[in-house]
Amino acid sequence: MIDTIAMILRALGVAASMPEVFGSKAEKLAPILATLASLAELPGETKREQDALLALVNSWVSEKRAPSTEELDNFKAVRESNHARLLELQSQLNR
Amino acid sequence: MEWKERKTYFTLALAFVALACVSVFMGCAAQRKAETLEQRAGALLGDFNIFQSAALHVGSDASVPEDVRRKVVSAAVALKPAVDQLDELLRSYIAIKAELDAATDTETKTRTQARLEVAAANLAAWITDITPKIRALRTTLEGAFR
Repeated sequence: MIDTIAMILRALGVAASMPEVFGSKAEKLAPILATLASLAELPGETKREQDALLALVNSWVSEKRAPSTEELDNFKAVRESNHARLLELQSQLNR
Repeated sequence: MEWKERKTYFTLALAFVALACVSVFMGCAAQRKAETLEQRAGALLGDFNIFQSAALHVGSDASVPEDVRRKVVSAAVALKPAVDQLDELLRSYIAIKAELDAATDTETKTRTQARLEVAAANLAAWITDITPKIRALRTTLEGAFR
């Protein structure tokens, strides 16, 4: 459903950028709609990641244990990889 | 269609999607499920990875205004050293706890117990410090469309 909303928002964003569709005042809404569409696309992936994390935390709770070294290493590997990509993105955006 | 009418439809659409987005981001169920100090710290580390991914998604989207993308990416980058510190404190706490479990004589047990208490206090303080910062990152992401 969220994917459909994102698609509708993308289409609305494009339509809003055309003055002949919604009028010239609606042009200002085009970037807002694009941002909303981007956020609306997030939930699918975010939900999967949240479910995986919740399952992991539930396993810690039911087994009455702390995160293992391997699990912490996995978190760290993802964190470092994401950070490297974010730094690259940041330098692109600041150019 | 009159401008006023168009504006109403747009506002309704925006409000609907904003609600959908916020309801997903409000999640963070993992932190609520965690029972011990180590589990809470672990859940926070996992949550940060999720927000990093979300920041990457929004930051890479060329259709999103650049100032919004920059703000979201900067917030995720800036928080990473504090999360690394949380990771180190958690590993240290777990290691000392294992030492305590392995200790056989009373003197070693007493000494290790004292070190564990210090490590627990440091970890708890860091969790208290970093939780609102991760929440702020979530707010930045949620606020990207405001």
